Amino acid sequence: MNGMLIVAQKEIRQILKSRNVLASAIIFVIVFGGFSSLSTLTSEGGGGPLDQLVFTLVPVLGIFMGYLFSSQAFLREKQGGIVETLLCSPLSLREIWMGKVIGVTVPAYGLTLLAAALILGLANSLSQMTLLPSLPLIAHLFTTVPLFIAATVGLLGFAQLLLGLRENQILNFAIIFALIFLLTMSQALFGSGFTISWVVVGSSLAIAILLLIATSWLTRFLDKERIVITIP
Amino acid sequence: MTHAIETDHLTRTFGAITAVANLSLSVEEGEVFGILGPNGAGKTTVVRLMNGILSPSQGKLWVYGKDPVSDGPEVRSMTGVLTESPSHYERLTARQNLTFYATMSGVAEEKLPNRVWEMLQLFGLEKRADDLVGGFSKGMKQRLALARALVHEPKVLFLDEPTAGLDPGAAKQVDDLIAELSRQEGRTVFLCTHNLHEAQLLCDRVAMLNQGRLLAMGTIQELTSRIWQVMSVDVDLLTPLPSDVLEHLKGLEGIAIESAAPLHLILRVRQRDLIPMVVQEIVHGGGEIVRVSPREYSLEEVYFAIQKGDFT
Repeated sequence: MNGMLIVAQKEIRQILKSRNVLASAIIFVIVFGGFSSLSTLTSEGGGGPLDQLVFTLVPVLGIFMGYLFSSQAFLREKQGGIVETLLCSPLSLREIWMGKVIGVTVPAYGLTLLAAALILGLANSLSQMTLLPSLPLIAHLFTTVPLFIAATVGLLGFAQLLLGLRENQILNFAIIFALIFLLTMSQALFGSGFTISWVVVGSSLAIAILLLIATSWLTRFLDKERIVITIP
Repeated sequence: MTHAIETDHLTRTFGAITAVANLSLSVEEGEVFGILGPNGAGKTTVVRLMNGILSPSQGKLWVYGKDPVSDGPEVRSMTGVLTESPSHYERLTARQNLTFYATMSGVAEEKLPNRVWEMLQLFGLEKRADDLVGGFSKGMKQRLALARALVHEPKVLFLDEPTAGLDPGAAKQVDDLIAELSRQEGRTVFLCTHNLHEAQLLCDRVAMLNQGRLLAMGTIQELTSRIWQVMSVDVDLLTPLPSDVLEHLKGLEGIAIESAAPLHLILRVRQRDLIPMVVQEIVHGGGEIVRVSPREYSLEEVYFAIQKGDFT
């Protein structure tokens, strides 16, 4: 089996066995997904606000899942020193990094889809009519969202491997504040007249692809020496 | 001839700190080679350099003729490493941990289950194969780490403080396993330790480092003879030695009497080869020997003499 997939498989298995982390992620999904949909749908009716909510909130939830799981896959392994054993294997650093990104993205995306399903289900149960997501929104959920999660996980993993313990602590605070800001402001940033068209979805997909390419390009600055020197 | 490991003026600095300075050594295939030194002597840096995780600031090194920097993956597929603080995936079982490393290190899929099971048996972990590693004792984790380092059958095994933090029983178990691996399987072992008893037990040759500098290298016997040019020999007698025999011994080239009690002599001989002659002279002169014991220096005595600067 390809080295990258071996690492990915191991990460998925580990995340699925991390009950505490999974529980935190599910609680987060229920709280933010549920309450956001309730507040949106009780203030305005119809499918427009629902599309907007799913379009903005679901990627942010996905990014949060990615953050939660990447801390397990990258930072925790570095803090525990186990990353050195991986570096002593014949796998290249890029294979290790990519394997971890895939391994974190898959469960994070799975939970994100669950969040989307929860929001949609809740909306339908509260509304008198059947609310179906628009086609551009479905495309957004199945293309842009996983790419955004992968790009974020890749970037976080890169930073967590590259930085020392203190810098990583500062980074964690910054990410948590940024996520809270995004969760509370995501809809306001786009405005109420905003509609989810193919152009909007295409543009966000282009941004996600560019971000992923940039993240992948950044990994050339990662080296084993830097990682091993910053192991606490 | 290609050495298993060879370094040539290997130097590694971190800013103003020199972790390894001008280290030149070679390790033969099948040898158990020990690197001894206090904390901060540069032992871990040497292991990291040899696995291509760190690059040398100066000098060169080869593992089976390959440069770990330019041929990193090839070198790492030949080596197994037990790091100073080996950790595991605690939410995975022992079997899953080993399978992951074996697959990653290129063990063929059809051989995988057998190889993993073989390792679990060898290290006495077969009954806990499907238990989560998080519940293992420190000794079991260390044995699992050794199994992990060996699962892909590496040619060279790097062990960085393999018994650090283990209780005496667990440490002995690990030491016995290392001895078995080197003696029976002929594997090259590069052992970094500050446990002198362990080094004496396991190593064919040792190198002593301090602040990155090589202080001495050789077998314990070689190092002993270079520090103490004369050897002490205790001779226990059944009856007092006739005085003419004592005088005769004094006159022999390379032999001096350190003390002479009626039933116990301490002699200083220049080299080990002279001991049979001493025995012969005593017996010939009518002396009745109960026991002759040349004083063997422990690695601990050698180590402290070298660290003190007694080495020539």
